[in-house]
Amino acid sequence: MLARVAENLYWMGRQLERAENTARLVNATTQVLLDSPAGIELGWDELTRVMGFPDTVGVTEAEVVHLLLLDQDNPGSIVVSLRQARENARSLREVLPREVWEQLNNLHLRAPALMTAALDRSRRHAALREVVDARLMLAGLLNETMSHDAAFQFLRMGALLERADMTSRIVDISSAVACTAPGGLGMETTWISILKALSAFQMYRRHKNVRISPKPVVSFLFSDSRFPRAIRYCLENIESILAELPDPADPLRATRQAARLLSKVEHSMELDDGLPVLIDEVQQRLCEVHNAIHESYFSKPKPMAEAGMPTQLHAQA
Amino acid sequence: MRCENYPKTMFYDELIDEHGEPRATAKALCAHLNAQSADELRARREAIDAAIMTMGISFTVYSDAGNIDRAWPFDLIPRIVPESEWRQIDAGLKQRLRALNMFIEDIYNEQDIIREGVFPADVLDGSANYLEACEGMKLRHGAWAHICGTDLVRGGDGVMYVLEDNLRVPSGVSYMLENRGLMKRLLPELFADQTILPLDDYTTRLYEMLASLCPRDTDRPVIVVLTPGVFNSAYFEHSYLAQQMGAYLVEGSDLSVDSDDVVTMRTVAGPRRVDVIYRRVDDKFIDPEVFHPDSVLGVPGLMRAWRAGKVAIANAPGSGVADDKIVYTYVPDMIRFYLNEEPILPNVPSYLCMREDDLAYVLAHLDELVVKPANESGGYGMLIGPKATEAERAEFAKLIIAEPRNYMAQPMLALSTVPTLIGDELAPRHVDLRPFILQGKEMSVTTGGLTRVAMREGSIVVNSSQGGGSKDTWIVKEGV
Repeated sequence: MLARVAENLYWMGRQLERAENTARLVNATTQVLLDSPAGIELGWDELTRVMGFPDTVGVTEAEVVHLLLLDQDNPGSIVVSLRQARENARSLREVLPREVWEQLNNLHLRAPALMTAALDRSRRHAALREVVDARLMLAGLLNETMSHDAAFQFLRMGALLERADMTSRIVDISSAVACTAPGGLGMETTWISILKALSAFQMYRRHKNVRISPKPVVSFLFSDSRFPRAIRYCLENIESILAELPDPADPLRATRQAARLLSKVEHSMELDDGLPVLIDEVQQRLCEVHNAIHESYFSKPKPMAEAGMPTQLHAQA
Repeated sequence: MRCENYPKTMFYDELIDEHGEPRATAKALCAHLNAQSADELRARREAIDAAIMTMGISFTVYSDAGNIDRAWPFDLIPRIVPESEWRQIDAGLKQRLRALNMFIEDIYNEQDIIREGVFPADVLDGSANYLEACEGMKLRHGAWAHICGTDLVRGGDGVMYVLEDNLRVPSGVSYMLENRGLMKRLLPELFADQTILPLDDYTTRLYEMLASLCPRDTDRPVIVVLTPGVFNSAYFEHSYLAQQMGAYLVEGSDLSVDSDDVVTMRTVAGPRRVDVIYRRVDDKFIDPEVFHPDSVLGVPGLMRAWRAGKVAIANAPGSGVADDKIVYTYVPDMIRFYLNEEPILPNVPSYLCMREDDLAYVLAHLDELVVKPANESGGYGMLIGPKATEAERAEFAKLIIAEPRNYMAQPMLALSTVPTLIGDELAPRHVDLRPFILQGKEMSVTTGGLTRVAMREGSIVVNSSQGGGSKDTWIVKEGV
């Protein structure tokens, strides 16, 4: 497979996953805030912070939602992610099943109207849900109609790495919101909303069988190796994909280093600032996995900012 | 929708005869249209437009305001050609390409045709498409222009003429295939009633033709489609053909030529040898070592690899020498000279401005003629005399006098029409037809071709870059 094609597939995977997770994240945040006492506006600047915009203290809900869903200048907004994924798919039409292209093209064409609808709280849930559903349909089409060859694996690897990164961001905002919540907002409701946003609530109940409290939830989202949105699951799958690719030594090493951090999660949560520091470290490691994949398989390394990755997270942490 | 309301004009219509009756092969179609209400037809058309958007069938228009990716304009009334006529056209197209390929190889080698006084040497002196780098080359199967898109037009006399031979990087075949796919998907009942010859096998034949060029003895040649990239106007077609053939779609930067003159592509598992390049990049850009040194679309050393016989390139570099509106006028002579046959398909009568008598005639009759530059394509840089203003004609006359070699003129053709859905009514619109001919080890012609239609009333400019649309083209068996 051509190096350039592998690279475009990888980015297409990332961009699709990014759009889905941003939709999940905005939905979850909206749900959390609906549970908070009337008159209290919180969390929106936390949301922009975890999405890579550190200097947005005091932004309003309308501004944040616009920024994350519709902003043409935000390379991570849903409409831009989908447009980039579609542009990549356009350069990949000879390797993708035709139905995949049509489904993605269609989603891209509908996105601006859907995301405009989502500015309105009463229509937000349905509109964002539609993005998530369309993305899942794409994942299904890919899984069921495309050969599981190297092309498929590069696409999947991009998606898994992006998902690991986004899960870490989602945990980040949840812990921030839960910690700073004033009186009325119980921590439990926050974590339930987050688990639901990640479609993780039922699976958590079934496999953990403990009441919802921060430590087991974070530990589930970090270190479960069977739940597909958990970071460990993502990294272990990247590892087995890499094992089948030519010359995987460098990216394999980076992936294993990232995975090793995950076991520190329970311990870190006993420390004051433990979790934010750990999340920073995890994201740093994920970045190194990305760089190693680039250097091993793609043409010229693409600067992260240009490719639409939010930069440093806890800049002031 | 009533075919009887279709207006009569002075032009030959492909579906309706001079008495306003459907031609024999169009009867079933007209009966079907007569049975449809305007609402039903509108619904079909909306379904087609939606399908085109979803399928992402697009082409790019270059403009000052940036490049725009436009949905492919498609009209749902097909153009019909009777099978008996098509058989003649098919034979004529093959004959023509065979002669053209013999001409190209001759021109770069012995030049018999010049020595025998059939073709004047000075035509080549001014040709921008003659490449010295091709001199002395002999190619497999004697084929240079492996893929040819020939533009046919029917005049007011009902005769099908050859308007031009596109031998460089002809495009449009993917739209022809997609048009048929759309028709079958959205108007399936039309296909049930009559025998419309299928055209699905083009990409298979293209693959086999390209494989027959492979310089190595191997069962599985590595074939790539070389595209200028995602911003090219025909990018949709490049990816479509690569996808349909299971070939790699590459850009210049994916390829390199090693010290043994072997072409390789960069894969995730290291370099891999390439055998056949179906290039959709113009001659002048394929190798910065030989041509434009600042081209980023090409591959340094590609001409070296091709000359060494390590890689096949389709169409071969230098094929454009025969894709020139001056050389075009000599094709009937080529057919007689190389094949000792009479041309089956006639040329449009043409005046060469390089000939003094012709030049005088052209300048005196600019208001009746269509004047074309020798080697532009896409309908750019031409003068449509009867539609131009006095000032435009005067301006153009200066261009012709400055460089007579660069211009030829043809009478304004009364291009045939096909009923086209304009609003809720059928209206006549002018069409041409571009079949695609392949020549490798074997020859083949598409069943029909791409019918392009000038959507503006009275216009004869069918190029999609200038507001043209397209139609499905049916080759229909008569009396079935």
